[in-house]
Amino acid sequence: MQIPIILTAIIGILMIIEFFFPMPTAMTSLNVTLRSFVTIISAAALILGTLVLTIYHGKKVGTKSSEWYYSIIYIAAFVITAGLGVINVRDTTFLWIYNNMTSPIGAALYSLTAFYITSAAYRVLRARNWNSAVLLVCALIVLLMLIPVGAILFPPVVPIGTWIRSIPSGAGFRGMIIGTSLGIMGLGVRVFTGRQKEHLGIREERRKE
Amino acid sequence: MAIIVEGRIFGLIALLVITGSIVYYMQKAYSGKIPKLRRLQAVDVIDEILGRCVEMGRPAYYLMDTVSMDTPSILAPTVAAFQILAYTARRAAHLGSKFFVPVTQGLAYTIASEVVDEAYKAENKQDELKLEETVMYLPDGADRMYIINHMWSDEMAGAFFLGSWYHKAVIFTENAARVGAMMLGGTDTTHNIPFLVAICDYSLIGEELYALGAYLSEDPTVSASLAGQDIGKYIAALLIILGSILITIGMDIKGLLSM
Amino acid sequence: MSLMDKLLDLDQRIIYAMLFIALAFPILHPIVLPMDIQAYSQESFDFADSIPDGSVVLIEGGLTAATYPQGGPGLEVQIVHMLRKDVKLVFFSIGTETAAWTVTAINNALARLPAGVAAENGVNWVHMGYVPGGESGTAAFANDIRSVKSEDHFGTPIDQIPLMNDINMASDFAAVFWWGGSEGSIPYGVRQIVTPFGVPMTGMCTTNEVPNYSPYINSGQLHGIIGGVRGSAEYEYLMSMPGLALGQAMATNFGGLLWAFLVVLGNVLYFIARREGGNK
Repeated sequence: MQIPIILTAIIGILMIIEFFFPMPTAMTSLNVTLRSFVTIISAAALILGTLVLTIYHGKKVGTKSSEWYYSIIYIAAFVITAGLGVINVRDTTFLWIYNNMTSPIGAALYSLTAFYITSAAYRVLRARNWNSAVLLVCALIVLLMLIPVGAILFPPVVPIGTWIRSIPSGAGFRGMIIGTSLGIMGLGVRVFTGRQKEHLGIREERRKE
Repeated sequence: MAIIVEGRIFGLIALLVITGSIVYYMQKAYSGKIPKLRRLQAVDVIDEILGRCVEMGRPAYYLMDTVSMDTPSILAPTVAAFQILAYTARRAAHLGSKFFVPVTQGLAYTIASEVVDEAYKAENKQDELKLEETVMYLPDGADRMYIINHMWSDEMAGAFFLGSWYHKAVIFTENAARVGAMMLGGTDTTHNIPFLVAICDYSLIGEELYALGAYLSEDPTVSASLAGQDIGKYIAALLIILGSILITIGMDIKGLLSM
Repeated sequence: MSLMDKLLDLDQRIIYAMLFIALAFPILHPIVLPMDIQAYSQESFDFADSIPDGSVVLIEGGLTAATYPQGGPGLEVQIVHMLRKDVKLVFFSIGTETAAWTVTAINNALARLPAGVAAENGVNWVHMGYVPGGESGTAAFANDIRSVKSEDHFGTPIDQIPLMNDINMASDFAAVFWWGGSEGSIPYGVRQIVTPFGVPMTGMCTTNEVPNYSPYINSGQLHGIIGGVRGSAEYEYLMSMPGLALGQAMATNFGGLLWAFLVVLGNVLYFIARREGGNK
């Protein structure tokens, strides 16, 4: 298990060194090759989730547990779609399934967001106290700025909304971005020193003594 | 030939200082001097939510949305979410609360299964655990309708929305609110923090998620790492104040920062 | 439960029905209302317009089925914009679904090109397809395209593509257009292309993500941004090519006004209920 950790550290440090220091061509070529490995391994990782799901549904059909008939639908859809894709990813039937079934379903599910946001806004955006009142007023101003006709109906919302979005909101987001970036740096140090192994699928319980 | 690539000197100094301080605090932690983390209110909230679920006889949902083991910006909150899951699962086992953890990624599913299994074993409640029903793999896309439908049919009483949340945040939290669940939400994805703060009963903003994970896991490495990151925050705050003053008095500092 | 309580806790299905009608009606019966151009969108358009004719630009196509209605029309119009300026386009995607939707955008854009505008695959544009690995893949692509891609999306070997003869890394491009949709991937481009190579960049994201990228715009790392369906509609408007985005933007007028009405109504009812509770 030490080998993946050491490899992670060496490759990571090589990438960082390349970013800050001019490197000889041989080292740059090595880094280019290593980065190309990432693309191949990432592609392979896509298969894992599909295998897990197929095994799960296969077991459900085998044991005829609750709602097992839906699992048959999944297995049939998977076999047909994957089979067509493997034969020829540009096959017209495969593309028809993608364009007329997968894509509209994906778009429909994403569109749920609009309805839930409206429902949440009606329920949540109430001036219960000063904090809520400020949130409410800012939300209304920025909304009116964003809708195309808002600036025509209420012209002052544009400069005020732009100020809200650029200055206080931008400052808040900047702070959060700094915090999150530092968190990623901390994770990097823990991964390079072998103290964090979740990316290898390993969990270790370490508690204070 | 320049020793350091032009325009990156300042970045290199910042990187060395911040990673150096993280390593320094980690070394101190190994010699026994572990930085103290303040107790977050969320720790009590976890018990409050699970207690409510036990009283009402309804399940608690633990949702992490996007989980990825190969994207650093998503791995960091995912790790924190697993640390909190370990504590929450153990408390759920101890209190006897029904628990449901849907996961949308293969490797994360195996880790989540292991976490929950270990938690129940630690409480000697492994007989009460049906792992395949408690931790479920749902492909991204199909998870939405499954979870929404089951939120209503299970009439869940509590929910945890912790991890790297994207557009599904508002869908699940609003649905959970309509079902009447008590919610704890936390993410570091900046554009979804407002949704979680507005809709959830209790929330964690940005780094509080990492802090809660470190506090609950009692992992000295993570606690030490947070202390090192705080040095980075102090430096950032100092530079912001200094930069604001210098720009206000008319000095151009862009050249200095682009060395 | 009193009427006031029922109104304050209005059934979400009633809200959904009202929103559906508010959005569907203007799409089925188009109503054109006046529109203001946002500063971020104008900046992004001006940046694209300032690309010297004949340059080569890199476009990340990150739209999925879910986000294509928002960004697709804008991307199509930008492709027409660039090809009309004889700017060569190199597309790539960091998702499998997004690579397929980029093909849709290219095909739709080519169908809208005026006669006489050159648009030959391999000469005026090329789609390098899916690059796995997220940000790491982007870094690999930016440093050496041939290390991660040996052929384009349609299977043509890279060495047989005339457009790619002198192109192998990010610094070979005059600009980057990152149509990130809801991927949250614009920072990948900023970190892996803008910062190390100094290539200027603009992008597209969904409306709710725009505040997230304000810091990058304020610092100059991004030259404006196309925000959601309104941003796409504004691009169509600035190009004088009205299309789907403009129609949808008009629908968002009614959806947004309904949203504002519901929020104000909720607050009015809340204050009335609070006063009645105080009087009792």
